[in-house]
Amino acid sequence: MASLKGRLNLLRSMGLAKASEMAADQVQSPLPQAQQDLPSGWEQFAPHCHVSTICSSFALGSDFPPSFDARLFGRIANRDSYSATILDDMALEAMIPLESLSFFDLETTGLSGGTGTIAFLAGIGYFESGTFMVSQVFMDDFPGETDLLGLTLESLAKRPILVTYNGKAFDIPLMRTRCILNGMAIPPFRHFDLLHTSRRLWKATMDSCSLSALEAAVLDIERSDDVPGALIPGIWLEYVNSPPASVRRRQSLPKIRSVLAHNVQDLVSLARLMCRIMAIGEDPLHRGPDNRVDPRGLARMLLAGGREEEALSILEQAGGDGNQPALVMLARFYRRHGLASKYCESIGLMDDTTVESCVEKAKYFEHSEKDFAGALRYAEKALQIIDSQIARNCGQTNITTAQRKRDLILKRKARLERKTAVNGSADHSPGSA
Amino acid sequence: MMQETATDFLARFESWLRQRGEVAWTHRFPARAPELVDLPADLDPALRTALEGRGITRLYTHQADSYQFARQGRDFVVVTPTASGKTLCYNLPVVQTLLENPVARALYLFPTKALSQDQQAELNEIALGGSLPVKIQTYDGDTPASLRTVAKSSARIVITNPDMLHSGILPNHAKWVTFFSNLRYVVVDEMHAYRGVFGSHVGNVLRRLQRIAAFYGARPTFIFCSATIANPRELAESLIERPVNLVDHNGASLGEKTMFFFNPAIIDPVQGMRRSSSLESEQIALHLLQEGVKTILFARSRLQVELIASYMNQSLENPYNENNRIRVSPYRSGLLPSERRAIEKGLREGSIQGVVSTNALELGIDIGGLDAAVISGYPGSSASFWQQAGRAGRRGASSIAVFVASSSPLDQYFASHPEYFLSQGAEAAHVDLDNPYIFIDHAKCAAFELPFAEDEGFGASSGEDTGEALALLESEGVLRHTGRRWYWSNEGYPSETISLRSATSDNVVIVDVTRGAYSVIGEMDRASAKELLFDNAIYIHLGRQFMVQKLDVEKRLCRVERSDAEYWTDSITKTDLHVLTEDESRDFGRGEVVAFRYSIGDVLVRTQAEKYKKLRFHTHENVGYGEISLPPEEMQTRALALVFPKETRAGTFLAAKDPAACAGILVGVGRLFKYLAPLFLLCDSSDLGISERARDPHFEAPALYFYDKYPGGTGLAEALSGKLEQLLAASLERIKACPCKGGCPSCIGVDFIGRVDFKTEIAEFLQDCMEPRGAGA
Repeated sequence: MASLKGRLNLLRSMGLAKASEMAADQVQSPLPQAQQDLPSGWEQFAPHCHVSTICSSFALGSDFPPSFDARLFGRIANRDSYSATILDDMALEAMIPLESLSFFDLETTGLSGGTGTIAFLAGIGYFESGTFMVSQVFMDDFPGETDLLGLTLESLAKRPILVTYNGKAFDIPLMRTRCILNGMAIPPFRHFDLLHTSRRLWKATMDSCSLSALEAAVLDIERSDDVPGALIPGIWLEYVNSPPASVRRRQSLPKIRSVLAHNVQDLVSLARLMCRIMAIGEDPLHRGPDNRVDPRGLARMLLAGGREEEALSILEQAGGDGNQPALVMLARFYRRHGLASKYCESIGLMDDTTVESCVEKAKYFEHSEKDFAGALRYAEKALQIIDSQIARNCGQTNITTAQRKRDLILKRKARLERKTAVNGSADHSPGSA
Repeated sequence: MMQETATDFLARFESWLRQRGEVAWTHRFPARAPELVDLPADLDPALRTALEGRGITRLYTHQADSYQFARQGRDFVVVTPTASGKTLCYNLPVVQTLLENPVARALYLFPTKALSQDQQAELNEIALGGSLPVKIQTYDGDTPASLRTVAKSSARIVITNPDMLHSGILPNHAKWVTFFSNLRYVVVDEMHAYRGVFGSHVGNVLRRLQRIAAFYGARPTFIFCSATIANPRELAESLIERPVNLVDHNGASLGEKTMFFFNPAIIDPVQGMRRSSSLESEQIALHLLQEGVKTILFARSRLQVELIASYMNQSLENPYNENNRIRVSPYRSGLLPSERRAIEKGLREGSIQGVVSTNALELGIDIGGLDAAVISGYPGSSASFWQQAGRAGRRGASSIAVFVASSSPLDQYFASHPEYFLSQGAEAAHVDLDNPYIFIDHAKCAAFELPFAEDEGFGASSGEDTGEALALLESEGVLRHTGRRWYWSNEGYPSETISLRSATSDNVVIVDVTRGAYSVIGEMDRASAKELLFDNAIYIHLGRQFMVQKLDVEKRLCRVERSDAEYWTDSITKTDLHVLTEDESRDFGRGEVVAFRYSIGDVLVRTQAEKYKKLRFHTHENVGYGEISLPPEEMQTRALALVFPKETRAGTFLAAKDPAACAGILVGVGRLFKYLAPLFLLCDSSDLGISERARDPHFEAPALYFYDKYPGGTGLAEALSGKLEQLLAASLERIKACPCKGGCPSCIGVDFIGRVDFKTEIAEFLQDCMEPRGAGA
């Protein structure tokens, strides 16, 4: 059999690879050309690693509270094996000073994860005397990784409570993987992932809970000339794969600069979002008419912080405006806490336009009123609604959830049919008369 | 299995077979007594108790030998026929080591998911039966997220398959730190499955595995288990590129096995037409089932499996006695995992008596208690054949294997050559870890997992060779060479786009939408879907019949609806071939005159399903046609072209014929080659595509193409060119030995009816290809 080398050459000649025409263009020297590539204010820290710290345009008002109640952010169940060790020792230490937070965001060479994905830019934001500062560490080539990781860990250690957007699933596992591969230890961090909090507050009212969607809808920020996140890996790879001082490298520079700016923007938005959520938590009943906070999510957040009274008034307020999901949540709360009259009252406020309200009513008639026929009518109604939903959404991903709900309704219906049959034959139940 | 004596039953069965058709030959394999030794002295008392709880107080000699090798940390391969207590060969030393060392880990690799499932059940029995503190976790595509965390962190034995190791575990090795740091054993079961393309891929996955283990400071011992093949040690050594010990003396007892080679009766002596082997197999299996013999029937395609199983259940249908309480179930790839599990359980527990299977069951799933195996047509290699035959009689009881010959030239060759069949032994299995395509694929994955150091060799390949491959990848723009290392420098996740098996990563999901339902019932690879799931096709799934509403190739979605048509559908595909390169061209022929020319090179093959036939159930008569409008499948691969220009001897012969006759001759020869190739190469005749051209536009002469059906080729075209002489001789022998008059499915095919002299013409042509007429014997 021909040698591997020979066979590889055959492959090359067969056109699997276009022979590298820019080989001559390629310089093997690791000279710190990159320093000139970066905007002013950047300093070289190591051969391939650069740092910058800027004062952002964002600052807190003088009356802004200096600390926040960690419990509002709840204990969010997470499925990631790492975060389990990193967070969740939030314990009962409720009030956390804003100035002890590191807002953290990585820019990486891929979005799908795996050990071949690396972070080439780490951004860390923090408040210093009310002003939001952003430190960035950038590497201009692969060998700069150890320095980038070392600097980043050092910087995070100063304010070891992290705030991220999707960091539990993405940034932190990636950081951990990179540290392992570089033989470094990553300490446990406490960690608020605002993605989870934001989903709780806004998922019901917004199509997307991405940071950029929230920026536009909640924070009223409009970015100009922003790089879409999906293009960022390609931009850095194009930069790093192009020979220093080549035309390709020059052409990639403006894009690299926009990535640096994008990262600053993300951190500023993250900080603003944190402040926005804090403000909502400070005064949940007066959060302004224009915001899109889902009353149920807010109520859940307050319940997690032990603020039951405010949670219930939020729900009652929304229920009064005819918000069916809020009424359903209210009814469930009263039912579980055995507050019969309140329960009955919230049932009375419900209409029967949603699956959940019909199911809740069916439960009420079955268990509280023992009116099985009445309950059956609502179960049937629920079935009708969900069937029309399934028919409309056919082919969509949430179809299995809907199917599961439907199965539960079918079970309920079958049970109620049995009960009405038994009752019907024994005597006429008061409810069906 | 029966009240009468085994001998009486066999005699009765044989005479029944003789009434149905022709019993070409029979062979009896005698029973053998076991060779036993004591349990190892250092065995943990808890483990000893667990074994004794399962009635194991002594070991077969090969189990004891395996134990010693494994405990000494020496890599070895153990060759075990079915039913020889294979799993204990590795479970015993592994569990013992895990008990001694509370952090040690082991990885078990099985070629299929179903096998892993079975293995976990068996291991749990050993571990829990003796309450041993060894956590075992399967990690594959079906593992729920919560259990995946268990596998990564606390499981001591992780059971998986090469595909999952390749695309799930290795690319995320940093999440498996504890596991890799403490990896002591890697068990590779069913090693014989790792041959050809799949094996070459798996060998490279093992290179990556060892590279990652080394990164975390581990050097695991490898334990291989294999069914009988000609070269187990060589294969194991090729897979991990270092010396491996061999345990091949089997100490297990063997039950008596009787093999019948059954040739279906000839129904048309002129055309040499025999009864269909699948219908005959069905009748034989039915007969055995009705005699109370638990039977497994092996058919060759998914479609056949479904058809045969449903015919059998229909034949058994009898409302008065619940079908004699006999249930037959199909078992094939494309069923959902839960459906497969249910069938496996049914077999184990006895609620199912008969199974119709593709080779999904050929590998060692322990289904237990089967008494007879009926094999419909040669499965492509003798290793597969003996595996299938070995499915019956697992408990050392006497058993039956019936080989039902199809009309293919290879099967008919065996019918008249029992000595060849019985003595050919197992084929040798080969892998080529340095196949440049495969090497490049895995070099990519390895660089993604960990940057390559400057002079690092990948596996056993030299730093220089590896550097060549990495440089090639750099020029493709996926790697960056800097700071004396090669870094993955691309956004992609390379293993996602690299399938270890052909075309499995690209599946079409089949959804049943009957009456507004929306439930996924199965999946199929894209290329097969175009041939089986076209609009209005009849799709049979677990005996239920569906009609395809819409195949959306782009969305990889196929909507089907329950149907009760009287027919099934079979697509007619058209293949186009375009020559891209001619890398090597040679003359063939001894003496002064060139017999023909041949050429090896790259081709583009375009396959398109254009029409389909509707065939009535049972009678298989054609009841109509339909159009298929789907985009063609395209594939670049390697091909061998036999070219017959006028100035060559065989070309001169063809030039004297009219174009139709010329095409006919090429069709006949192509068919013979395709079906006889597995005699000389370890491949399946379906791995080989054929295209014949009476006037080839590229070579401007008659040409016959053989192309590799694996994209990029796997060396089949090259290997075939080295076997031309033998193939020509075997083809000529087959054509002369065939009793038919003018061609039949067992030789040149049935496209020649009405031209009685065709057989002679093809024989003369083959003779011209080989040597001057009259010069030979």
